[in-house]
Amino acid sequence: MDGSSNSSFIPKRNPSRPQRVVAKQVYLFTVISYVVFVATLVSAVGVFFYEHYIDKQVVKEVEALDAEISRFNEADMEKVRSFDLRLEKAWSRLEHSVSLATVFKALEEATVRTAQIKTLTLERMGDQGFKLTTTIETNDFDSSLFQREMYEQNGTIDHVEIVDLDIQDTSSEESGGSSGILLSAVLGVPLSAAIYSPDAPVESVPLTNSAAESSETASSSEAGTGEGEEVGSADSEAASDTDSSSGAPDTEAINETGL
Amino acid sequence: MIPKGLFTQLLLIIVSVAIVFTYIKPTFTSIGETQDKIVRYQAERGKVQEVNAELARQVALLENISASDNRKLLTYMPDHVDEMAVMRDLHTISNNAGTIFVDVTSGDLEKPTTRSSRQRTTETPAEDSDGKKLYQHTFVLTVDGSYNQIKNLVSTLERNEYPLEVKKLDIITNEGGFLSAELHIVTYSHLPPVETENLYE
Repeated sequence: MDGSSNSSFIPKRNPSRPQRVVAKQVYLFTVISYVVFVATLVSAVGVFFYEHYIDKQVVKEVEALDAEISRFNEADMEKVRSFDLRLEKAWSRLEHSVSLATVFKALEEATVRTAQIKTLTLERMGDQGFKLTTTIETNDFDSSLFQREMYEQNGTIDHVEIVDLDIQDTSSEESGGSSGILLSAVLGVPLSAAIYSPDAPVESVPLTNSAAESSETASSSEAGTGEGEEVGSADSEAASDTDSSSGAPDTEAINETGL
Repeated sequence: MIPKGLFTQLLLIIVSVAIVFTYIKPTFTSIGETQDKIVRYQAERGKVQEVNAELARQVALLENISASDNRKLLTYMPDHVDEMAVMRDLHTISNNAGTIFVDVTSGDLEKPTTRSSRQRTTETPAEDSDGKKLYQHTFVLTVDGSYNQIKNLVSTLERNEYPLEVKKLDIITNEGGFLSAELHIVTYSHLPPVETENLYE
């Protein structure tokens, strides 16, 4: 039975050929190249739309700025500027308003009894101060020296300069043989010492009835007017506030013979 | 032989690089500049808004000032000075002070006088100590009186509703014991005087 092994009725399958598996290889470079290309395209499209959007934003901002600029009213600005300038000018003059009465008061307090002011020139030097040029007549050198000392000690007068001194021989006149001294002095009073204060007490000379009834002015205010008292003469010594201490000026003497 | 696939991939890379350098990068630069512009415009708009708001506030302040305060300011610092009115006021003030009015002249008017009162030319812009231009008008007032009356006159001048600044005061003794005073008085205007030299030319 040798052929028994070959005579099996079960058909034999042909032995299958071993299948050859072919693996598909994906290269990294390929992936990268495709990714890069797609990303570039997407970026280009995105950048295009973003640029368009930004340009619209710029136009909107420009329009908003123009609208804001057009809201600015030149007429209002001019009105405010003009008012401000006027106010500043008025304030600057108010700040530098002075009271000459203070200067006169200082002069009165510092002028000695034996001195007589013959002439007085008061000049305002801008907004710095006053320059007083005065001619004073005294009896002798002692009075002159004392007068100068009084001016120097006065708190309101900050500069004293005797520019000229003239010895007058008055022997032929009523003084009975004595000589007088004529001083020319320049005094300086700083503006700060004579600043006007509306609260300061007003010293006024009572007026004559005719002066009180004279025409009113629309612009003069707070004047000491209309009191209706009579004044004896032009040499009245009313409203004098000088002290009676030694060295104080004798306004009566000044009024009668000088200023 | 070069494989087709590799060629395509290389082409894709090259095209991508070209797009980046020729379009995307310049566009990014342009976008950056545009954004800077936007920021600047916004900043400027903010400033203009601040100015407009401040102007509106100042206008509101101005409109809240009372009519009487406005009137006082206009009296104190008028646009123009009426020289005749000032001369009238000086005449009245000198009479009210008790002095004897002698003469008053203005820098504008040339008036023959019997006294030797000096006339000064005026209306030159001056600067006060704060540097603002002020147009000043000078008047020369001559009076006679006693020392106290002249003091009263000066005191009244400084209380006037508009400035009457005494720039110079000369006092001399007259015959008979009276004093003669010559006052150089200055007042101010906000605007320069109207020029009439070239009127209708």
